[in-house]
Amino acid sequence: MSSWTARLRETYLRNLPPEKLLPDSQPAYMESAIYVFGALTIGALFTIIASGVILALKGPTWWHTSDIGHFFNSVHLWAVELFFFFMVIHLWGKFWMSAWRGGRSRVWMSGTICFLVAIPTAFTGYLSQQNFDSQWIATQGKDGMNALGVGSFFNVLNFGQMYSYHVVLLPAAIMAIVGLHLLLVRRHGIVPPIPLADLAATVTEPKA
Amino acid sequence: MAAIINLNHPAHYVHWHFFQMSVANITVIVLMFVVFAIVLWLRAPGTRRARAERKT
Repeated sequence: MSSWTARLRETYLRNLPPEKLLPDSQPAYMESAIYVFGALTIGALFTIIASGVILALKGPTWWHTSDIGHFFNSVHLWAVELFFFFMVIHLWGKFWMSAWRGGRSRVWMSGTICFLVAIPTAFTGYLSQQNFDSQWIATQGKDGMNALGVGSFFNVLNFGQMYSYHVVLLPAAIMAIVGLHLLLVRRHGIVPPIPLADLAATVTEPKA
Repeated sequence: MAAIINLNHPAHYVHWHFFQMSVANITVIVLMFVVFAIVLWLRAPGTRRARAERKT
């Protein structure tokens, strides 16, 4: 009986051989610009993480009082704006392609979960600003959290807890889900366009 | 350096019956629709060159 490491390797290579993981070419239909938005979303995510690491290293006083701190604070904010902008267009494109076709339901679901986890990641970021804006948002948000019954273990007035969620727990979850999403895309391939025959079958003939 | 758009004031809102949204959010949503419509007609960057290389 082979070891668990050998079984793991065999399973990995069976599901994701190197030519699938890092392919030489892509299908012709990927020439449409709509396919670029997944990659743009990842680019924005890298910018968010890089600027976030710098903000975490330097701290709130730096990002509120120095010019270079303001710059990285703005880079972080606008990278988030672009991340959601690109991700929503990516979502629309994949929705109208019915991207869950051909056994790709897990690709679609992992993308959906990523979108849902990204929202509280952004919200905890607004709570971590350490200014009047974050205080206002926290005092407004606490009533919503309490109404949901989660206020006792997700306290938006607790800066330390929100900051931990924002810089460790939720980004780790996002990166893990994005990694899984990419591996699933590589495994199943990019979804092809809907065949014209299928589209024609959905069109009803006008009454004479 | 002065900002291109002065943001040092309360946000402007569009309020129509039950609908209420800031002008900034409406602008972003309209921009997303515009970009989505445009990219449906555009080729991805570099695809023209890649196609020419495949032919040669």
